[in-house]
Amino acid sequence: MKILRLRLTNLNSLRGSNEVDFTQPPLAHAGLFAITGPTGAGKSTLLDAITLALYGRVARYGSMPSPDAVMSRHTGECSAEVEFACAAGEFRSVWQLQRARKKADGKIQQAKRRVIALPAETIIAESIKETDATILELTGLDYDRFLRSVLLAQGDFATFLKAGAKERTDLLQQVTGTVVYEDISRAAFRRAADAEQALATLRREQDAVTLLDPEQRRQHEAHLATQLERLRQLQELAPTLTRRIDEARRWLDVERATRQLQADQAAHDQACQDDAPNLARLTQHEKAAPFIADLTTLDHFARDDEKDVTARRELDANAPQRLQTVQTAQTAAQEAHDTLTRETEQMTGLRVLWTEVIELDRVLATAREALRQVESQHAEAGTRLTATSTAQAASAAALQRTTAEHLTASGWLNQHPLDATLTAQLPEIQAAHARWQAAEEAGVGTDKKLELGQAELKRVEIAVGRIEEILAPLRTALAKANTAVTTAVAAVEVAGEQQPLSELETRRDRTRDRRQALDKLAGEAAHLRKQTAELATVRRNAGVTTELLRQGAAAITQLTQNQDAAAALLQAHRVTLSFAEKVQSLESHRTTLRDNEPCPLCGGVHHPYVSTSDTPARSVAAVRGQVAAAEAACLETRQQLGAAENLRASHLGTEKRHAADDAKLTAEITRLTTDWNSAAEPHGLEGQWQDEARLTAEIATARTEESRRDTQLLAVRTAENLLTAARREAQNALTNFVEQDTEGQKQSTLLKHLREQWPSLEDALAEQRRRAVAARDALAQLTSAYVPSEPGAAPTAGLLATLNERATTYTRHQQAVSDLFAKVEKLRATFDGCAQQFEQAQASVEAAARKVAAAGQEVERQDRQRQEKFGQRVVAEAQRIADTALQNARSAADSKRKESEACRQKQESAAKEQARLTEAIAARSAPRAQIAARLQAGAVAAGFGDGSAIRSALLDPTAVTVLGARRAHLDDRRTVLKTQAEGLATQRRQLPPAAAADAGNLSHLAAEKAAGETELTAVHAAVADSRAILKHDDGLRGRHALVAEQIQAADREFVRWHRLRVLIGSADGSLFARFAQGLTLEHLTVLANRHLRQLNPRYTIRRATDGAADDLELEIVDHYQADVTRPMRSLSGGESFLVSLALALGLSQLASGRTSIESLFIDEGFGSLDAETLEVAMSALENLQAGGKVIGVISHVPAMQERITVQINVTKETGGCSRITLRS
Amino acid sequence: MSTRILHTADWHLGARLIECDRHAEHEAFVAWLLPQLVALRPDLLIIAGDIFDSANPPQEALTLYYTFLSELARKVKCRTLILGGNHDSPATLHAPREILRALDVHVVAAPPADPAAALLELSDAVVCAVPYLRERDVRTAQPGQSADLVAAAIREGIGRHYADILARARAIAGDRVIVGTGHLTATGSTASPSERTIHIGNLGAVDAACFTGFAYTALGHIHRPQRVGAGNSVRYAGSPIPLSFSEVDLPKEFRVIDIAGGQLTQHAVAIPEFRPLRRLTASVATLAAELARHQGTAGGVLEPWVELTVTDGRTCPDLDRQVREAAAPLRLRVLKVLTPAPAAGAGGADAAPPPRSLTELRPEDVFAERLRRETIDPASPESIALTQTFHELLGGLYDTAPAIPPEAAP
Repeated sequence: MKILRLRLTNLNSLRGSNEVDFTQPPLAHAGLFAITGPTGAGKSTLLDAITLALYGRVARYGSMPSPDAVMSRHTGECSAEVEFACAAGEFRSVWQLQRARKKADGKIQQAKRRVIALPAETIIAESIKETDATILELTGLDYDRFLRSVLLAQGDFATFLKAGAKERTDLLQQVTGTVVYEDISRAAFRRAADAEQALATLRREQDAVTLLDPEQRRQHEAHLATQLERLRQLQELAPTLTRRIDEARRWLDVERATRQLQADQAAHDQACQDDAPNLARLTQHEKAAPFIADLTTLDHFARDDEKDVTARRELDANAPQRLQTVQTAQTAAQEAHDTLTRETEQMTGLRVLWTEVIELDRVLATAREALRQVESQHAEAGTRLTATSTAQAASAAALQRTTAEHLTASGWLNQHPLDATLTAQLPEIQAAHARWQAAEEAGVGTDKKLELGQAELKRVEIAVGRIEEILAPLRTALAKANTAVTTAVAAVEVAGEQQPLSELETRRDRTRDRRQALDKLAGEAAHLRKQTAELATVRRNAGVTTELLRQGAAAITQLTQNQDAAAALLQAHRVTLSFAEKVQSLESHRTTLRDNEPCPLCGGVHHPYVSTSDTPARSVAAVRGQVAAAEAACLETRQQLGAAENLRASHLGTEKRHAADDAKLTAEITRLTTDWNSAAEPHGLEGQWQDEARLTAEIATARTEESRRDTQLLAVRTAENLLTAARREAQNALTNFVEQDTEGQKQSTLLKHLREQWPSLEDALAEQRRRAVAARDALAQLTSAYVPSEPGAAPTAGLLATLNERATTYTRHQQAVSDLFAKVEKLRATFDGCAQQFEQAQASVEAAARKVAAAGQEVERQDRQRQEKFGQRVVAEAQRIADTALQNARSAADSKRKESEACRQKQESAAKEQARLTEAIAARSAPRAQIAARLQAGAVAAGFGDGSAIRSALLDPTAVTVLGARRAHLDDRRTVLKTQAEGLATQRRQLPPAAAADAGNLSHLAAEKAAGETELTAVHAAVADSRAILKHDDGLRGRHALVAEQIQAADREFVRWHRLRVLIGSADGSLFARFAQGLTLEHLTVLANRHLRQLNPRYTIRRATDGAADDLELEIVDHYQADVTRPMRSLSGGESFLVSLALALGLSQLASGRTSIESLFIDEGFGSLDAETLEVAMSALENLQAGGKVIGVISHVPAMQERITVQINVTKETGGCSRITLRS
Repeated sequence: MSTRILHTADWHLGARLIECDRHAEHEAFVAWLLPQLVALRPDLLIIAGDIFDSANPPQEALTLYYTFLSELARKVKCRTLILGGNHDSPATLHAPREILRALDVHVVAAPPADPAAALLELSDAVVCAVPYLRERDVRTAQPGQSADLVAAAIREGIGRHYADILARARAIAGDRVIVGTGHLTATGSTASPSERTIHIGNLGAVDAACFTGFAYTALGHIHRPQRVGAGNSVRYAGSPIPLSFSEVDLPKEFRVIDIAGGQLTQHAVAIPEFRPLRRLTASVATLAAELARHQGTAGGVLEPWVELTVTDGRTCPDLDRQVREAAAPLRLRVLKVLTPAPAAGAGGADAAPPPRSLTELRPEDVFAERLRRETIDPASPESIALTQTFHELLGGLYDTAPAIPPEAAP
């Protein structure tokens, strides 16, 4: 997947429309670019727009953003659009949000999303659900995977590294999706449980099957054998009877058929006699038939001859008219040909003339062109001449003006000769002026110093006086403070009863300790009393339990006896039941039993149950009721016994617990008593923990003592504080006094020093004044030549400036004169140049005029010649007219020639037809004679006399067909009757001689057969009954064996599912899912390590080995420290960034799966990295980029901005808005 | 009259090895170099890039740099040409450029806007200052270029830059020789792993033919001193101290080039070892003795730093502690303890095909892996039976719930 373009409107600080096109330069060619800008400008908003457009969500806000969080303030709508390319093509995903009426205060509407296929612009998804599904289908990435593979958002970067085991599991689940493994795990668990259940069910089923015993089974088998023997006998008898009845019936049938055949034979003979004459006519026709072909041929010949003779006659009649037409056409063709020849000859003459005229026209055109060129040259030369003349005039005027200026300037210079030397002398004058000024200033400085000295002296004198005044009160304050200290010391001694503070504190602490110890003892005594009471309760309860136990034992003995009695009763009832059931099973035989005849089963001769009463059945039912009642009674006593035993067990437990409690409490009380006594000994209370009143009194005493000590201590401390304050006061007073005293001494020293310095300063001032006068005189001497001055007077203030001004003015004029001179020289040269150019131009105008005249004459001559030859006519027009005439003549000749040719051909074909007809008539006469002769001979041979007799013997074809059919029918009928007679004779021979007798006795035989069949049915029923009983038992036996087999199979099944469950099955599905996630984690470490090797070869990430198999922890291997492993937490900031980057890149690869990810955005503060780590991270990103990815990095780190050439810059502007610009 | 040029490069001031500071070695080097320069009296000192190790060097590295330059100006009075390398930040180097010019120190950290400013004229030579060329310096982006084309464009841009500056130098050289400089990888040079790959993914290795026309080309970036190409006129000076353990055995030197009457002679001056870096190999049994044998002498150069490879280290669970205890009383420091994988598995992790992602695995594959982790032999009847049972489970699962993800299907 590759992000191509991004458009966003009114998102946060990026108000208005913004577009970033990653396919246009410079972004298109930069594999790596940075999104830069100050914090809060909206860098991350660009990435938010991508997730909004694709998924309608923003990574920073966790889930659905509130509209206020994304929409720019004071706007009514916002949107984000992303165009992306994936394997299926290019698409645009759009997200839009509006307020009502698009007003800033309108109510927020539902967000809209769309996916559009490009470039067709067809909408392929519109609802939110559809959009999510479509994006997933197109990109293979859902929102979570997108955040792990394309857009590593702020804060999510180190998620994986920092995550706990639970979050890590969730992340891996998000990235890879292990739901299927949970399903499998749950299914494995379920299947094993099902198999276990099935096995139990089968075992119960096997227990429920009851089989016949061997003796019963043998009796049923013997009965079956007897019945089968009788069945065989009956079945042998039945076919003989059936056969005899059948033969008798067939005998009767043959007799009936013979009679019918004889009647049919008579009818056939009569029909043959009736049809004899017609059949004779048919025979005559068949003799004449061979001559039909020859007769037909003769008829055809006669018809053809008649047609040909008519056609030849018509052709002969038209012959003269055809000849006339041919001659007319030939004459017209000859005339047209002659006309054409004449036209062609005329044309040849004209062509020569035309060629000459064309050549003349060409020459004339060339001459005219030459004339035009020469004329334009002449005009150009004229223009040039005018320009040159203007330039010459301007040049002359400028020269005159500049010469005048030069003269004026030179005049000024001559008027000021004195100023020429001033420039050279000026530096010297300036130096002298400076020297004088310096001397003056030095004098003034010394004056000022004297003044200051005087002021200082006065100030110091005043200061000394003031300090003397301050010192007196300070001295008094000092004395007062010292007195206060003495008073405070006395107060402390009184309060503390002459004892030091520490001693007082120790005493106070001692009383407090005693009081606290007593409090504690009182508490413990109360606890001890509580424990004693508890012990008494426990012992009382133990007594109760013992009594209950005794009662329980008696009850159990009684119940055991009851149980034994109930079991014995049940056994007795069961014996009775089995006997009653046996009696009932013999019921089927009871009617066959006779007294004094042995029973076939038991051999007894006495039969007590021979009567047909239903007593046995009733007695079985009654006995079954008794058994059930006994079973219930037995069960009840068993339950009662169980309950009694449970109760007893519970009582035994209680008893044991009481004993334990007793022991524990006793030990505890003993221990507590000992402890208490030893603690109470120092207070004289040993062994008195039960005396609560005594303890209370002791505590009250101790408390009173403690509070007295506290009060005393407080008083002493207050006094001491007062003392400390007094001492501080005294110290401050002393310090103030010493300070002021020191300052007074310092000022006195200063005053003395100032008075000593005074005379030397006055001398210095006089000397400086002398120097200033000398410097002024020197300056006046230098300037006298230029400015008149009186000796001894000070130079005027503006003197130097005036002189400077004069020198500068002179120099400026000098420069101007020299500039003007150069200008005059240059103008003169220009003027000379112009004059020369004017002359040249004049000469070229004259030469051009001459050339124009010559060319004009040439044109005139050529034009005349042409007029003589061809006048004003145009050659091409004449040529076209002549060509048209020639063409017309040629087509007329051609059409006439074609007409003549057609007439001639028509004449020739008529002649040919005449000849052909004559020949055909002649050719037919010979065969006709031949056929007539053959016919005559044939007629004689067949006995017809001549040809006409043959023609009359022939019948029409319909009569021939009818007669033929009749003759064939009679022949067939004869054959059929004969075959029937033979068949009946054969049947009669095949039947036995007894059949005739049986035929007379048929009804008797049928009755015999019916009686046999009735008995057979009865025997069949008996056999079926016996077989059913045996088969039922067989079924049960088969079922029993089958269930046994099934149990074996189910057991095998259970074992194998159980094995699988142990490996992967769990009720919540976690067992296999965790394993699968473990594989993912291992895969991730391999991917991450590839990146980490680039970033920092020192470390390798590894799945932690010390935890449980499904524990998803990671650890770090330090290759530089003998491969020691360290937990992730121990990494430093920079290292953990690199590891995070490696993991994030690995995760990105993992999440993308088989989707190719070509865009990667990293929104992470690189700011926390040191320079070296940043360098390494940058190199890693560049290497990724070389691998074909386009990578966008959000950063405000200067080093990254310096290194990454292409940047999307987001800058803040006024009013909380930002702007996007591209930089390269 | 002759001209003498000194050529050195890749100082990497402020560098660290593992976590250890190299400042002491750099100080020792500078203290050694200054008297050498006083004795040799060069007219120009060229430092061909990577003067600092990082864009924002630590304060003590900056102090050493400025102290060296001021001492140089005071004691030697030669001109100095400092070129920017790939490790250097142009902004950091350029900041004090104007004040350094007063000391006759010329800093060219990025190609100057005025190409004439990159030429330095001496009495017998004209020196062309070419710093590390970044992509933006030599290339303008073109639409739709592949990575290979970009690399070719960078190489071509670098070639053009040299051709251009050579032409400018020729225009003013007269009969003086022309000396080139640079900070890049030239083909035919032998690298050591401590140079960071440059020119975007190591694409910008330039052919030595680029430097045809220069009487001598002083290059930086490769830490091993060497010549490039057939002649002796294109040279890397190498780094003055080994920057990683991989450079332990490389000689360290700087070049001295004398130019007189258009003729050029050169020789190397070896730089002593200020701190021994040692790569030792030992077994667990012999490591204590081996370390003791290589410990430094009292009062000698700086204490040695060691990279220790323990051949049978993987068998020893507390190797790290043992090494620390063995090294504690010795005059040396162990920076790296390596435990190589057994020969059979050498490069095993890299060579083995990567495990497939869960999205590429079918549940059957995951189950097979589960069996493998249980150390159940895949050919055993037990394994076959279990696998069969598992397939049966899958069959039933997909019949009832077709929730199997499409990518999991074979």
